[in-house]
Amino acid sequence: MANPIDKHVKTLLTSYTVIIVVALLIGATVGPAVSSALFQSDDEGTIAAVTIQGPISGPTADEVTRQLRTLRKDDSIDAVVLRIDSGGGSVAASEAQYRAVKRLAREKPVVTSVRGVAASGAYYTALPSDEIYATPGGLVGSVGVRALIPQPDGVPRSVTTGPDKAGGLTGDDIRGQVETLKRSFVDSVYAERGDRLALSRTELTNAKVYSGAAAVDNGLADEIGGLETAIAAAAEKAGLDSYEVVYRSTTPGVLSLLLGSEANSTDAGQVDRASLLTTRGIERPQYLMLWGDLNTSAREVRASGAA
Amino acid sequence: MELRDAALKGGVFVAVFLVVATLTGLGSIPVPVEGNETAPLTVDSHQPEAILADSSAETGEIELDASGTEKTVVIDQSHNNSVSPEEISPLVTALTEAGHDVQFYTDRMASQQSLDETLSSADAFVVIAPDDQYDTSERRRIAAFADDGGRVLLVNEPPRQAARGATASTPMTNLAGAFGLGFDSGYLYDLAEYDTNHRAVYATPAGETALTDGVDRVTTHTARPVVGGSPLLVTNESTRLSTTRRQARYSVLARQGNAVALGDRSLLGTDYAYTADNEVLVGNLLEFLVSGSR
Repeated sequence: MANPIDKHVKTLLTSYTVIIVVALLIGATVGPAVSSALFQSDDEGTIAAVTIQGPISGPTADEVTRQLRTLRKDDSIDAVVLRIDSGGGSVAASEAQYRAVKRLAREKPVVTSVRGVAASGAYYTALPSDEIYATPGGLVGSVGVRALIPQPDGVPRSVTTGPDKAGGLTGDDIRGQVETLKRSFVDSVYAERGDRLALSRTELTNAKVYSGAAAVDNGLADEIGGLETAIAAAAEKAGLDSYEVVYRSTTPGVLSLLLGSEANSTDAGQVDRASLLTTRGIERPQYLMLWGDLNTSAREVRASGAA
Repeated sequence: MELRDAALKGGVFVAVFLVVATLTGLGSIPVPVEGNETAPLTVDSHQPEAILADSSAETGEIELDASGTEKTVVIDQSHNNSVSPEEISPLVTALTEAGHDVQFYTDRMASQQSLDETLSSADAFVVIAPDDQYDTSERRRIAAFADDGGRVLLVNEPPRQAARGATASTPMTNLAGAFGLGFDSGYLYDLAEYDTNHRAVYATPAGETALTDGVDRVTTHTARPVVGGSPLLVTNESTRLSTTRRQARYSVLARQGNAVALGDRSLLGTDYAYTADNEVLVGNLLEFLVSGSR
């Protein structure tokens, strides 16, 4: 007599629901590759428009890095347009995105189109682009860093092997780190856009957010224009007369959602702010390249006038 | 029959697979790529030697001459002052080590002993960032105390951002006004020359006075400009005020007779008391408190 568990497993595996779900997953996985192989015409180029939106955190930066790496290695992609709409996020994640874009821009033309906001860490992400396009109402800038610091008093509750194990950052340490990160950000802005910038270092470190019109005027952005203009500019840089556009999202894929990945959606409305800033139950300093007021009880240190 | 069932299920699988594969053709699933070699990426603005910031050293001691007579310094805590003994421990420790008496005029004390009585046995009165107003009689009494040779130190700080709508007219304004002194709204910052953070603004003596004796440069932290009186410490020209963004040299320490106004409470706390020449200034302020003529 067959084992009842084996029987249940067999029934389950041969049920239509499971078959359909498995087919969905595999289909979703190989679909893009097949379509890209089938419908790619040889006589025209391809421009990838990559959307980067919402708060920047580790998981979103991973996704952006992965996507940009794929595009960098994909010979059928001739140029990339970043479609950015974000007020920034964590410093480390923003740096990762900056480096990913910089790697890409070394090999292919990259043009940024500011969809709504490209502020702080999101502006950092856009920096290595060959050109930054913004509409007059877009918001660009906020070159600065902030730190949120929990303020535990007294001796650490846990037994620690050293005075700095539980937290241990003094006010001086935090201010030093924030200043270091600010220098890195500001130096990066000058390295990428120095000759185009009309702002002095002091003006830049005010960390103001400018309208697209003002940003084009002061050199934080290059031209007024929307996504289509940015795509046309990317095509021109890649020397393409005719081209097609493929749209890529940096939201987590179907598989990672189904498999319960911790990757947050980059949709601002769906990201739990607490998960961006803290790990539940653990209080640590948070270094942010983030524009906007934060409603938090933690103490804050900023490295710029209006970050 | 089983074969037919399996074929049917296989057909469903293939159908669904084809539909989904087609629909997600432009999706975000990775395209397999060949070649993993990636040239190293060096970003100059990410290199430690280019960006590492050092905070200024905290050295020195607060020195106070212990040879004088014992004086009584009263620190007000009865007007919701945002001050606790721990927050100004360098000031309290230096005074007590030099043999002076430090009293905190708490709410409890205030219910038992009037300000008038307290001041009659005091040599100096320190007011730090009050949240409650000083009424007319209290202001008169404190002014009379100063006229009579008592020393008054008024220390203020900007309200935190949460306290929206705060203006220059804080509870300290009326009291400081009794001495011809005042505090501007907002905080000072300097984006051109600063001590690790733009809110840590340098200030240098405006002239040679006992209060700035031995001081080359102090670091203030989120200071509030002081108006009126004789300015004793002023900031660099590149300093700006957060509320107006006006660039100017701002006074952060001023004296009017026996009253001194200081626009930065942090100078009296452990975090900033020993930065730059701050400890020299704090020592001078304490000397001022215990050298009145009462």
